[in-house]
Amino acid sequence: MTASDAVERFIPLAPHSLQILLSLLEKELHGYSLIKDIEERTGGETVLGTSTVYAALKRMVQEGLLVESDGPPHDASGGPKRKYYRITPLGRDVARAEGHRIHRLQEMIAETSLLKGAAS
Amino acid sequence: MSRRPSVSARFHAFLLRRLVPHLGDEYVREASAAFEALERDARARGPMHRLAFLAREVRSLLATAGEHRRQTPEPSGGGRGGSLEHLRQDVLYAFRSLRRAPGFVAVTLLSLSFAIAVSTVIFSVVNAGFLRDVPHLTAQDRLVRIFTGSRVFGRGPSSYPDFEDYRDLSQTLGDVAAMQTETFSVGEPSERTRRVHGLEVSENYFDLLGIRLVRGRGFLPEDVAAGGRVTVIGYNTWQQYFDGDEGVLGRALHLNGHPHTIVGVAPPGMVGVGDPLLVEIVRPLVSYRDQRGRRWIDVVGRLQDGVTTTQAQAEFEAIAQQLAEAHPESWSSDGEAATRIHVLSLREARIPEGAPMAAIFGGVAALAGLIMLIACSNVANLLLTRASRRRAEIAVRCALGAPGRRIFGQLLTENLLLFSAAGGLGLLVTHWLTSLLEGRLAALPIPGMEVSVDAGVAVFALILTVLTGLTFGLIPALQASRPEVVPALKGTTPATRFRLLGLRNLLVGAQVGGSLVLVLVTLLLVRSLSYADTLDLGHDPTGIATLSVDVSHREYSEEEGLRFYEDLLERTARLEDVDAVGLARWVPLAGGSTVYGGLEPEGYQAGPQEYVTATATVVTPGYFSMTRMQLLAGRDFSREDREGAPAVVVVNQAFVDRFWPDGQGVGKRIGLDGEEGYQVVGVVADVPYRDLSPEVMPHMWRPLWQSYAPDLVLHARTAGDPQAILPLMRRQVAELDPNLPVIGMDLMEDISDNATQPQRILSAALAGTGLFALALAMLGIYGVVGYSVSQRTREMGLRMALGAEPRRMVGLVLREGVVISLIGLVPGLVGAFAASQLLRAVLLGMEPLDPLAFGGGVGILLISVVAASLAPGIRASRADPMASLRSE
Repeated sequence: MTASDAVERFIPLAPHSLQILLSLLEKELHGYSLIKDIEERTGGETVLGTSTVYAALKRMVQEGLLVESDGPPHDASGGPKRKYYRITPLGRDVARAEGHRIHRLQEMIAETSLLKGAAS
Repeated sequence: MSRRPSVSARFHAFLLRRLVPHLGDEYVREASAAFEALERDARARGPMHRLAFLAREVRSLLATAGEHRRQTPEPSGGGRGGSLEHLRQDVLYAFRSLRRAPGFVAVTLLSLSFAIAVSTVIFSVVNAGFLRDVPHLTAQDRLVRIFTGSRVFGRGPSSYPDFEDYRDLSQTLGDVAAMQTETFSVGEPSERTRRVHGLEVSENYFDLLGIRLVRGRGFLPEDVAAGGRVTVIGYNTWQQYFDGDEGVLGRALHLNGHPHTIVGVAPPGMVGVGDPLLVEIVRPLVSYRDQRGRRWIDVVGRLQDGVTTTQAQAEFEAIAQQLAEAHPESWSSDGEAATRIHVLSLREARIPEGAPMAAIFGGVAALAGLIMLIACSNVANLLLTRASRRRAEIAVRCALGAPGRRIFGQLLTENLLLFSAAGGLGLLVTHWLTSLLEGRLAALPIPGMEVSVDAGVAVFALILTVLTGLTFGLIPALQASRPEVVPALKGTTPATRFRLLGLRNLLVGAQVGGSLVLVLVTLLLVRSLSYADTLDLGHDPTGIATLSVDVSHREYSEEEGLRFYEDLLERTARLEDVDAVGLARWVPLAGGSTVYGGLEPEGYQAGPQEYVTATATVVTPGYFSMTRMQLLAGRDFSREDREGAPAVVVVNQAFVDRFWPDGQGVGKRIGLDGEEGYQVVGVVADVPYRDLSPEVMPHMWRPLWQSYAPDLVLHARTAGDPQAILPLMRRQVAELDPNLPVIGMDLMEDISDNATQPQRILSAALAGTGLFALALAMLGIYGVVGYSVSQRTREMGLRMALGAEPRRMVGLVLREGVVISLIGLVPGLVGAFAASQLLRAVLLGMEPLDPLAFGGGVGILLISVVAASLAPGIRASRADPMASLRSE
């Protein structure tokens, strides 16, 4: 299986999986802050339920898109130690591939009359 | 710090573990922690956000579970996995089927949630009033209250020497404490003060009751010896006025113009033993400790181990005799009026004598119960109706082979889901109503009546809801799971006849009856409310500023006091903008008055057990014209009515009406305990002093110069803004005696507004409740008549086919609606009659059997019934004759 095959088998990616990857691009987060981050980043448009997120996290860890980590050394929350998630190089590639796919889709749509005349 | 997860988080984890088993414990734990944190956030953002959060979580859980099932191969056989899958399907199916009936869901949710909220709040208020144990007391079943009274006067207060005697003489009581409720003016004398409810207590008060202060200490004998200028402040006062400052102990707080040192902070929600008002200030009882005849304090004691209230009562009978011999001047031994001591448990003592309050509270509680009844029968009816509408759907599922068990389970799930939602929404509405009510109550002159939602009450309402849901949701479910498949599939129903006393009609009858009670009560209260607005106060409080002083704080002699007040009147009268001035001991509707007992009105033959009393207040000449009280006969007081001149009195019309049937007051004499007493020189139109009840008590006014009192209220009338002259009035006091504290400053108008406010609030709340009940009943009637019509489309169609006119069809349906409601009308009228008798005490200026309210109530209800039956009637008149002929 080539590297590209490894990426392609994830495409198209479920929207919430893509959101999770996007949130983890720059930082490691635990589940709660991940849900908050997605909500903030999408201006409240996407608010995921905990079951959805954790089922996705578990699957994505098994598929090698994410790894569990101990998180930043100074976890200020003070509560019990939580599990953090970090994106893997594969996860990054998959996110990028999905981004390209969506971008191509956008271009295709733009070439049609689908959204013409709609408010920009 | 490791905490136990919240109940909802644990439930979420439970479901997640069952429905998405492959997630694994570790992930479930993480998810549940995130769930809890998110729920906390949502809760902080308000109830709607929380609701949205929970809905999202349920969706997310179901979707994840569904995905999980699609990806894992079906386990063979039913087993646990199978029943869980059924549960999931049932929940999804219930969601879908409820979404298809938005009207039904909305009506059920609205009626149940508001009914839960309204009845929970009403019960909570009643509870706060007199059912609940007094908070913070230790072993309160061992506490008793001791009243000094007589058979005629019942439970009365005691004097401080009485209290000391009880404490010293009693063997059955371990210890005895004294207390007195008091309104304090809190704040620096130079600012506008705040009036709060509080207590004056003996030193052992907190120890005896077992109240644990949250900061500091209670009172010590040394505090009293030093003049008692110390205070324990209420928790609210600590939080609101001192921002919960830990260094509050030792700080000074001005009470009635004097600085007091704060020595302790009371626990939150502390109320007095005898009333439900929050106590914000407690200070030692220091005044009048040596006046045996001045009975104004409450006594509370703790029973020794093994002693019963009855034994204590027996002991106090003996103590009373002993004291009557020792102090004949203050212990009457005169037959029925003989001074007695009553020992009552806290619970007994809380139910007022003659119990008008108990009646009101009981009545209000009954109304709350009625609301639940109406709402539940409403929903029961809706459920019955819905079940029969779904006969076809269920028959299809049966025909396709669904076992009855599954259909039953599915209907059960649907009902549970709906009723839990109604319960949850009900709690939210309760929360909202309570905060609304608290805001209102804070505006009362008696601040701090504590209304917290009682968990027990809320649980009770919830259980009632779920029981309704299960009972009425499952009866049709049982029926429906064994339907006769063929007629149901044909879209017909077995011929139904109109059965007057069927379950459904009885339910509607109950609703109509209950609503009639509520509507009538509503009308009575609304009428009474409008009466309160037009009530003749007997005086004109607008434009009058008042300021209270008590020269006993400076230990003036009577002569000094009189001179001070004379100077104060003169100075105030000279102020620019002040048109008239006067002094009075009591202000109408401010809640206080002196009671004179043992009166002997000339020519009046008192009954053998009658003890003639009247309320009284001291005033200065010109007071009547200043307050615009109307002098009906005789004259006002004058400067000549002094010490040494004949003792004179002005009485109100009620006094004349009560004692002198000839209607002549002026010139008569009123004896006092066998002495000569006073001569009546004037009669003034009735002025309500104590409260707004329509029966004004006999009242007397006495001139200040013949009946000195050290604590008086200075009144000044202005054509301008009375608020503006308050500081000027204060300055006059300060210039006469810079060390004399001003106890309070009020506008007279505020005082009378405050007095009418409790009635306004109660009436408004009940009026809202009544309207709500009426709407519920209309919905119920609409539902049942509509259902009955839908069941009989065949019959209607046949009638039409046989030539019945549409107009007559409408008439037929209307008639049925009215007949159904008549079932409830008679019991409703009886209930309304009983309720109106209970409400007698709060109905101002009207008879409980007000014909307008009763006629109007029945009228409104019948109109509602007709309105509710109209739509189904019109539908019936449009029934298609062909459709019903075809199905035959």
